[in-house]
Amino acid sequence: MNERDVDRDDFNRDDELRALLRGADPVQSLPPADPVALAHLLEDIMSADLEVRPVEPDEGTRSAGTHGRNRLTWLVAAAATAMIAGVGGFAIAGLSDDSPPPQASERQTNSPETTAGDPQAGVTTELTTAASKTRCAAATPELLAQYDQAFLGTVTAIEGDALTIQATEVFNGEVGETVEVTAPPADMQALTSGVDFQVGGTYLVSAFDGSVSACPGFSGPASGTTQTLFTEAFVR
Amino acid sequence: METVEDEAPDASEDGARERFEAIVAEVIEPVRRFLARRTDRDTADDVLAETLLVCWRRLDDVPDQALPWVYGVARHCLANAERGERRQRRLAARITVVDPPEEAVREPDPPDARVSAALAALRPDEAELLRLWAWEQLGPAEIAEVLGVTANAVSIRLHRARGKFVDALGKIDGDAGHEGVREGRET
Repeated sequence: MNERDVDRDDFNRDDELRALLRGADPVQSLPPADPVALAHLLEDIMSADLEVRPVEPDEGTRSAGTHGRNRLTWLVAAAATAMIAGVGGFAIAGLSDDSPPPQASERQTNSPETTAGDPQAGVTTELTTAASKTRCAAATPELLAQYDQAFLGTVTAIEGDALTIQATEVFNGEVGETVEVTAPPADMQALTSGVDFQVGGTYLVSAFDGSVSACPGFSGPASGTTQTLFTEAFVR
Repeated sequence: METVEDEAPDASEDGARERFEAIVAEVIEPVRRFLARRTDRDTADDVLAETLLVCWRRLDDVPDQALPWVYGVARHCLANAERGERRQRRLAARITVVDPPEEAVREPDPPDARVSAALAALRPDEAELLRLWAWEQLGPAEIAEVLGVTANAVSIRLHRARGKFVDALGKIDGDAGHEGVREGRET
């Protein structure tokens, strides 16, 4: 056993030490994941991205641009990647050193296109929504932090296919003072009923790839769960 | 002009799904063990789902050798989950473990209490290095990827952590007058 000089102990030999440590492994065997549950989970994950799937261009007149949308219909490798490039090493960057990983806000503020704070004066931001064809993913701060735009605002008008919000505080992305959400009636109705937008009410709103989310936690009255989520995703 | 692309998954989407599923098949069990070692079962399920979601969303960033990278994501998600109060919001889908009750499978042999105690005596980051090394069976370069530091730094810290661990263990053995693993040693 002691064929080599050891300065501290017998365990100095890595293999032995490793084996010894393994003796304290609380999970030496774990039954495999239930394949059915796993398949469901994967399906949920892959379809959760419908949540942020972009719709067709809001002004249907956009010339011949619709073909390009084909690739965007799967958000993951297209939109998400572009967006993530800005977010940077989401997981990895936060792991350096022994300090706790940074919260979303730190990542986001490093992103060049991020302008957290006040809305841009005199600017109108145009958004749309795909609320009627959306499946909602469970809201988590991590997911929310990946949204391009997040802001607090007061609804000033709901008219037909348009919703106008006066932004007062921006948590992420570029957001003008005035936010106009236009969408086909079905989507607009799904949005206003999903979030329960009322004129005069104050809401937290998030958008991904130009599309406002109507999902619980992603957009909603500025209180309760939504507020907690936004705080965790963007403020701390 | 047909613009019903929503209904027609294109080839690249299929490719993405395929790649994602291949990655999941490769990492799912190691990552489940990784989480089971570090947190309770409900949190492990949540963090697993979140980890996989991040992988899906960042599919293009997942390297060919995916596992260390995914451990890094899982580690980050776990830290987030454990910060602040436990959330009641659970992702809808759960990975449940097949039949046998948890205790029966988690601890076929009770983990070596001395080793656990020695690990607990180390700084958390040092103990984590040793766990990644011994439990996840990673080499310094892989650990480096998990932690987002250089392999060189890992080697140095790992060496130091091993030394401290041995010292801590020696102390525990000394205190307890325990024999066990000291056989083979002339006293």
